[in-house]
Amino acid sequence: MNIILLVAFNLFVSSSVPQGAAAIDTPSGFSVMIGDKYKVNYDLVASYYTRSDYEVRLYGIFLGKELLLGQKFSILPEIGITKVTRTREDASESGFSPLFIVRFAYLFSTESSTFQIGFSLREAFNEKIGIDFLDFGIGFRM
Amino acid sequence: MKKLVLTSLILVLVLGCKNSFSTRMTSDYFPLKRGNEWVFDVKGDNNYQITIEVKDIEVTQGDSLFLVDVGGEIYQFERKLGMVKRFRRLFTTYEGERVDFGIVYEPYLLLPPIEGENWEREFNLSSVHREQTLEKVFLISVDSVIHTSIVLNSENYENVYHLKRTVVEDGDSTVEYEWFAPNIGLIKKEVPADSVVWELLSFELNE
Repeated sequence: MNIILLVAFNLFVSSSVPQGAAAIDTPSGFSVMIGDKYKVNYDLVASYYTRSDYEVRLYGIFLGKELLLGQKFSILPEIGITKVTRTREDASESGFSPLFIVRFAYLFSTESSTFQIGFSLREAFNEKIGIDFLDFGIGFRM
Repeated sequence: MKKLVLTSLILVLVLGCKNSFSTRMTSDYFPLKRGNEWVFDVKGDNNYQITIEVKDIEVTQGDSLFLVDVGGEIYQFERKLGMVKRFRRLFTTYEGERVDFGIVYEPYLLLPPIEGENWEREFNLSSVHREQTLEKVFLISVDSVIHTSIVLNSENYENVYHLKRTVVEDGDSTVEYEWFAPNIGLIKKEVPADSVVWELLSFELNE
């Protein structure tokens, strides 16, 4: 079985539209993906971002299938369950909610067959919990 | 292909689910739109009905001021991201004359409500009346925010936020308990000192 491990660290600029109000946020996070290239991918996500009226933390596990477009592009749609915590000052409230993620990746050509560097564009959303943000990331795959 | 169809179906079902937390995350607990109306049954020494209606919206310097008729008295609310402010004109009666202290912007409700939070604001005001300086202290404090469910008139309301509001004006303290339901707004209010309870009878909200 061919195991692929993708480790990416991202600094993001995103836009979220919770509760109908537009806001520019600065979330950051990392993801670790373990799975077979042509089969199901598993993805762990931890994300944090601030809004002007509260902070949101997301922790989740995701499941998806990566579709390769040639040697350099890939699309990874995923569905996951997240623990969402919103905090304002000392008060916080948590709950579980599904979240949908679509990740587009561009991988640079490398001489190594086991190590690749690439850019990713990730859209994570669930209108039912007012989360909609777009991430730009850079990472490596080995 | 079968797996893809099955997976897609599961995704649609999962994303379509609406749980309590989702409701609390995205619902409006203080919907202010022109024409919105709530009718309350007021129970106390005398039983009567009171109507709350959003009468008009004034836009000044980009801010929207909602004029809300509460049983004939106009309340002014301003809605900002994360907060509803109530504009309250404060005055006192001194030697039979009304002395105005101006308008204060009271933090009425933080949105979306979060269980366990509390907020407080104190206003120390003064006004010169016939060459005499009069002072006034006004304090609003909200605490004990919890989410709960409540049955009113055989109707079960879920994901309701309950809070305790204390207003102190010139040393006199008034405590009110309020319940806000998702996408409805205020559904119940208790004023223990007056033994008065407001309970929602009906409401009509504009889209």
